[in-house]
Order: sequence, then structure tokens, then C-alpha cells
Amino acid sequence: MSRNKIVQDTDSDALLSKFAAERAGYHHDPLLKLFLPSDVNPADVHKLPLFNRGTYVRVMAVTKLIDQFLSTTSDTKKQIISLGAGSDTRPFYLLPKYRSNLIYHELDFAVSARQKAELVAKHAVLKDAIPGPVEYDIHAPDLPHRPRRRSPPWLFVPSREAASQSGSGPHHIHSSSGTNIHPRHNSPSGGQNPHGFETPLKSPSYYIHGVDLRHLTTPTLVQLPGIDISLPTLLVSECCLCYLEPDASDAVLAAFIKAFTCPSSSNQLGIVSYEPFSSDDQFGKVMIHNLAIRGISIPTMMAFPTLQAQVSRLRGLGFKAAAAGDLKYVHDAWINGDEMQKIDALELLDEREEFDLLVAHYGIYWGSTVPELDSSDYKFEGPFAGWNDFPRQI
Amino acid sequence: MSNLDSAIEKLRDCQTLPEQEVRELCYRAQELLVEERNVQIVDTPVTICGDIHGQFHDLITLFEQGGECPDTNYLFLGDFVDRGFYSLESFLLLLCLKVRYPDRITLIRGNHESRQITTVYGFYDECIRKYGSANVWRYCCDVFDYLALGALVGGPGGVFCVHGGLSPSVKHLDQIRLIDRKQEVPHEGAMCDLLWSDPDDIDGWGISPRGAGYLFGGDKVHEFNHTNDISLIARAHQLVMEGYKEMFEGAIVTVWSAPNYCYRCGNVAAILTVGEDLERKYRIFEAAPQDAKGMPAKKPVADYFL
Repeated sequence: MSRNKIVQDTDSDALLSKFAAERAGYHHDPLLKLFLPSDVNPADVHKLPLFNRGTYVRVMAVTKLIDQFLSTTSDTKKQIISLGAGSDTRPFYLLPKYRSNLIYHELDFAVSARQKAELVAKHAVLKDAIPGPVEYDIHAPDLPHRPRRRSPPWLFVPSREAASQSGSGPHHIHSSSGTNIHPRHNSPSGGQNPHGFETPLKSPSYYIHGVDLRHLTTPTLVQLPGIDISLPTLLVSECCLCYLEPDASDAVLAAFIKAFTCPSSSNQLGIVSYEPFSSDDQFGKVMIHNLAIRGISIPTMMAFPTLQAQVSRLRGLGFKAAAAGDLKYVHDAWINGDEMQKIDALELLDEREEFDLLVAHYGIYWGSTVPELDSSDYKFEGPFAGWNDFPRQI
Repeated sequence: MSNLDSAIEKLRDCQTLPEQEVRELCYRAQELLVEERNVQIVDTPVTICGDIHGQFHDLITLFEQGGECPDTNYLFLGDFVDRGFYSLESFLLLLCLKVRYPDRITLIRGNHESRQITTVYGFYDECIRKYGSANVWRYCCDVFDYLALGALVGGPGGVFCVHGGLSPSVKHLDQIRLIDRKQEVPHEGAMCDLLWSDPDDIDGWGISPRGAGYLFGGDKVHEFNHTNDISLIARAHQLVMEGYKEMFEGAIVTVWSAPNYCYRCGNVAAILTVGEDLERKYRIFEAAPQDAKGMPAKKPVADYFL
């Protein structure tokens, strides 16, 4: 299985976890079931209470940070750019709520982007959530998920990334006509333009872009249809950039920072990110090992093994105000009494120590390019000012 | 069940028994357990083991480390089933040993030895998967109802063994002896607390975040030990990364015997041998490699929040 496919499949992990937590009553997200793969029987989706609770904390934390951004100076038009959005249902709740005051972009692998656009086209309840007319460009056929077996070996030449990732990366296929095709990112007849992206769904306020983040540069980024660098913008990476090598992940963030700090920009870029970290402990080591068995590698887990390391990294990249909390901290500090009572009543959580251990290895990070101070004593400002209300561990 | 020794051999190879044999084994175990007291009296030396949770390969390692039964006298603090992939083989092996060497192994009940909990945490599903019906799960649950609630090791000044901990309704061990234990674990009351409670750095009693049982402080532990003339409470129930953890000046210990719990936690495991003079000796061990000893090694998949 290619590394891309493995990373795409992690979206089903997230989806099934969210669906299981939804079924157990932790959150209300009736649209999730539309995204379930056809071979999954909704009645069979179960997760353990500790897992449902962890999923709830993760979804709640990201949702609260996004909601706070959107509701602060709520008469100002704002923009969300969600990286590796996969089957995330948030746009279908936020767009009807904020209508013309929100532009929502989702960036993902081309194949995932097309799948989502197809799903929107298929389900009126999704399409109707999007204000204004919707245009689709989803005629590009998918290439097979992996190179066909028995193909002559000379057809497959590792790309630069693949070489740098010990052969685990994507492969260029040199077709017989001599053109280079990225499996699933380009297609022979597809909607990709020379900049290497496609936009299978376009509307005045919602865009789904198919783009390989590893090739995303500032010039490409500003050419994505609908991107408006003059708007206060929130970048969301919910377990997405962590799958890239640290350099590549830094490059993506740097590309956004560059675009959103140029003279014609809003100069207001925020980030909400969620990713695991290793803590340099036994749990982290076992996690890295277990994920490797599935072919999953999360390079940033080791490169930024603590909350502090990740926060320092964000500050270094230009998110001068940055804060963080692990899911254990967020669970204890962000859930008020009533909410806690509600979720306590849903399921008996027997595995308390395991829960604490597990969720202490996932971080929620939030930061912004304003104020431009090098200080840990900052206050979030402007559209991000609402974040000052959230307790932070760092 | 004609031949216990061959059943033990089979189970040691991580093979399941035919349904009829399980039924017979469970019946014989019940006959034996019904005669046991709520608080079993156990002689020293004895090796006390914490949660196993279906980690069969690690149970085999435990026996290698602690010595085979019946050479070593064992006391298991419950939670034989759920979470791991081999709850059935683990529990049946322990049960076979119990029936074969009743005086050399003591099994007490954990909070997972319950119908309600096993339907959520895996043992029920495992039985359905392995037998296609819930019969074996039912036979096992009937045995659970007969397991002792605790044990007293080494007489006066000895060790009280229990899965979870103390209960506000139990000041004296005699109060445990009055419980009618042959039932599903109730949601509250002394029997529930013994199987669910946890020690904590508090004074007195606290509300348990688990939703059952209580938190109890060092004062309650010292009080209980003094009243009942014991020197130690040995309990399990909580994951300890280092395998065991003594609290309150050594008045209580948590023993955890499932290394790399759920194939995810990265912890080591421990067993505690209490000697004739009540001296404590801890032995630490690590998780068995997944495909050790040619046993069926289905790759367990640990879930993460991706």
C-alpha cells in the first residue's frame, strides 16, 4: 500500500471514531453517517468508552477554538483553511451559520477532495448547507490506488520524496507516452492545472481543493480559487501536517505565513493544530512501533516530542502568540461541571489511568501571527482575542 | 472432563477447548468455588498477581518468571478477562489449574468478572467469535459469580488481598464474610466497592471518577489495617507503569501483571511474592514478543486518535 493511501486511510480511523462517539451520545453530528464507507454497517461501529471520550475531547477542543475565532468580531468576514480535512463535517454546520461572513477551504489529496465533492453532489443535505450556487469539477477518473501488479519494474521510479523516505513515499509513474503522472494527484484527463492543484467543488463560500501539500508553495496557495489573503484566516490541521517530514511540514506553514504577512494581506493568520507527541517515554515508543506496523509514520512525534517543543516551533515559524494543552489537560480544564456530568453519565469509564496516559500524548495547539511579540506573556488579539479565555498548559 | 492435564496442555498452547469441555470445567470449578469463603485463607509463601486482561502470552511469561503452578502457590487478584485478545484461553487455563490444584492457586474476583462489563470490554465478543454462540460466555459468567471477593494471606499481621480496595461499609473483615457474593457484581454497596475502589492521596473517602466504588485515603488504609491486624493490603485494578506501587508508608500496594497493557501502554508488569515471614519480593517482567513460542499470534491493532 502506498504511503499516501495509508495516510488517506487514517481519515477512516477518525471518521469511525467520531461516529462511534456520536452513537454513544458524546456529540451530535447527524451528517457523519453519510461519510461512512459502504462496507461499514453503522450498527457495528463500537469503540471503548476511553476511546469515545478521547475522541470527544479532541473534537470538542478543535471545535471550541474554531467557534471562538468565528464568533469574535463576528461581523467581520473570516476564512478557514482546513488541511487534510478528509470527511470532516464542520463546514456543513459552520457555513449555514455564518453564511456570507465565512469562506471555508478544504485542502486534501486530490482523490479525497474529489470523493468529498462527489458526496456533496449526491446528498442534498450537504449541498443545501452551502450558501450560493455550487460548481463541480469531478470528472477526472481515479487511477488505481496502487501500481498494477506485474507491471514491468522500470515503469516505477521513486520520486525525490520517496528516496528521502527510504522508499516509502509516492511513486511517479512514467507512462508509455513519456509523461509523468502522479498517481491520484494528477490524472490524464483531470481538472488539474499547471500549478498542480484541482478544485472539484467551488462555491462563493466553500471550496474543496485537491493538492499535494508537499508541493504547496506561496504562489500556488494564493492562486487557489477563492483564497482571500485579506481576510482574517484560521488554518486548521487536525492530525494532518504531522504525517509530513518536519521540513515539509514547516514549509507548508511557512508558505501560509508568507502569504498572510505580505503587505496586501490581513496580517491575521491563526492556526489550530492537533497532533500526537511522543513525550520521549515508553508509551510514545510503543505508539511509534504500533503505527509503524500499520505503515504509518508520524515524523513530528519525534521531532517535537513535547508540547513545549511544538510551541517553540510554531513561534519560530511566525505564530508569535502560541499556546498548547495536551488532551488530558484540555479534558480536565476545558470541560465545565455540567458538560462533565453529561459525559460521565454516558458510559462507565473504567480505564481511567489508561485514558490519562493515552490522551496525555496528543496536543492541541493554537497560535496566531498577531501580536508580533516574542513573549510568553502575550494576549491574543483581534479575531483571536477570544482564545485568551481558554486555559492553557503552555 | 476426563483429562485435566491434557486440557491444561492444550490451553498452554493457546488452543481453546470444545464447548462441552468448557461446560464441564466450569461446572466443576463452581462446585469447588462454592465451598470457598468470601475471604479465602491462604498460606505463605504465595505469589500475588494483578490484572491479566486476556494477555495470554504474558501470562505464560508470568508463570516462567514466578515458577509453574503447582510448584509455586499463586493468588490472582482478578481481571482475568477483557481488553486482550485471549481472555478465554487465559481464564480457562487459570480455571483448569484451579480445578487441578485447588490448594495451590486462589482466584479472586475482579470488576471485569461481570456480565455487564464483559459485554462492553471484549470477553463476550471474543466468545461469540470463537464459538459462534454465547454459551461459553454464560458458563464463564456463572463461574465469576462464585469467585471469592478477597483473601487473607499469612494469618495475623498478614496481607489482605482484594481486587479494588476498601469500602465505607466495611470496617471489619467479618463484614465481608457476611456478603452473599453469589451474584452479578452490584452497582453499589460493599461488594461493588471491594472490586471497584482506588486508593488516592486524600483524607477519608472520595467520589471515584470510574463511576463505581470510592477513592480512599491513607487514613482509611491505616485504620483498616489496624482494625483487622494486617500489615498490607495487596490490590490490583490500576495500571502502574513500573508494575507495582506501594503507598501510605507501604500499607497498601498495587500490583499490575499485564505488561504493555492493551499492546499500547509500554508499562512493565510485576508479581509480588509474600514469604513465610511476610517479607515482600517483587519481580518485574516485560511483555512477551507477539509471535513468541509459535503460538497463534494475531497481530493486535491498538487504536489511536488519528
